[in-house]
Amino acid sequence: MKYEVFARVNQGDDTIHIGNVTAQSDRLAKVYARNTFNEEDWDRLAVVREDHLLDVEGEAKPTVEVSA
Amino acid sequence: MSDWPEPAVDYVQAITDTKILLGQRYAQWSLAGPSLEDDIGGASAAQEEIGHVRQLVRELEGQGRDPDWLNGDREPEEFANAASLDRIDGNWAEYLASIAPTDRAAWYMLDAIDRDDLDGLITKIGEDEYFHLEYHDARLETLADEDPETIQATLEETLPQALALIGPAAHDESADPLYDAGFTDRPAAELREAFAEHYRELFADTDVSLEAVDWDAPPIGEWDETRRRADAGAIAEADVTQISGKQNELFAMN
Amino acid sequence: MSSASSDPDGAATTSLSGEFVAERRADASAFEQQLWDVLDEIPDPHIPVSLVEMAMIYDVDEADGHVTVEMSFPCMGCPAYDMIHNDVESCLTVLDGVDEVDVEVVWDPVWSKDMLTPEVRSKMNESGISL
Repeated sequence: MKYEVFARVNQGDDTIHIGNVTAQSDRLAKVYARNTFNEEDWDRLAVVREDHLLDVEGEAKPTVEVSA
Repeated sequence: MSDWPEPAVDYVQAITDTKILLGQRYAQWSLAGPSLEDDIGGASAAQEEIGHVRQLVRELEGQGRDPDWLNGDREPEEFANAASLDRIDGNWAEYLASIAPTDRAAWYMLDAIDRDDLDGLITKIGEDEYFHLEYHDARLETLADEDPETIQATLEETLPQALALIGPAAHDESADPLYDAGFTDRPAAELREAFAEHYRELFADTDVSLEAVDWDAPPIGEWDETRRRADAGAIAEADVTQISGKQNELFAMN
Repeated sequence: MSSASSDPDGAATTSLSGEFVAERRADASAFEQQLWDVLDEIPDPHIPVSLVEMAMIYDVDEADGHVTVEMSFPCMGCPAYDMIHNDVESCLTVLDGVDEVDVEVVWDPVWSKDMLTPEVRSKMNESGISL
């Protein structure tokens, strides 16, 4: 499973996307993210499962579907 | 530096020697894990264990132990490491099920030490250990799903070996010499219980059964109080050569 | 996250604030202040601040030419551990009035980024290091 990694340096800063990790569980994803990105001392470091990202706009322009 | 009660030096020596071997095993696997993230975690844990050893060795020197001997100038049988770290054969799952309970056991033993002059040192080690143990548990959970047979078979061997390091079950409040001397604030029996409970809970909803683990091992009669283990095994000569660093002495800074 | 300014009777809490180094230096003799200044010139090998700015120097004590430096490390497994020891010893040993230097590594209090002053933090931020 792919996880997107987000972080911010100081409280009040924007939380920005800094990379991603692949892991088999949420718990492992958190450990991997820390191992990989803890060179900085973040105020907040978080992971989000890729499939939990809800697309608003993507490659295809959204259209209103009218069901028959 | 004030003197520790007599059994405490062997107790800290066993923790230290176990950490020497943890550092060595982490390093040996740090290019061979299943993913880059596992390798990064292993390399970082190796460095941290070596850092812990460097400080614990200073404490042992302060208690009169010889620096050269401490740093590896000794026979394999003189290392008081947990038996689970004697060998490094086997696959990744076996490796993980060997180091995880051992690192946890060594941390429980340090955490039980009740001395003001070691407080800061142990707090600092704990900052590293939190992430070692969190990683191990997260990894054991995934491996319990992927390869429960190997994890179970390995733990049946390594859990009793880690328990031997903590101390025999007979070392309860009335019989643990370290607790009795005030060096630790919990007897070995209590640490063992917390340790067992942790793993029972971790594997509760998995295909790994801990039913066959001998939670009472080792019998006190078979337990060596100096090496804190119940068998006469030891690491290989080749391990001692690497740990002592003799071959690369020329390149050392001090 | 300094608690010093908000805590009215904070003698105990200031030791973990940005005031940490200033407090540790406060009772130094004139000669010990000079030694602190020399240590303040030794760079941390990883980042562009000195060992003193990094709050790694906890105390400097001199008696009859014998200097004891109490210091700590942000990481116990610091790969530059021996190198920093050598830097401290060699920078002080060459000074007039110093015969012998002992570096004593301590872990009480445990090093924390809260010991850094706001000035040092912004210096590090400017270099692209967030702490």
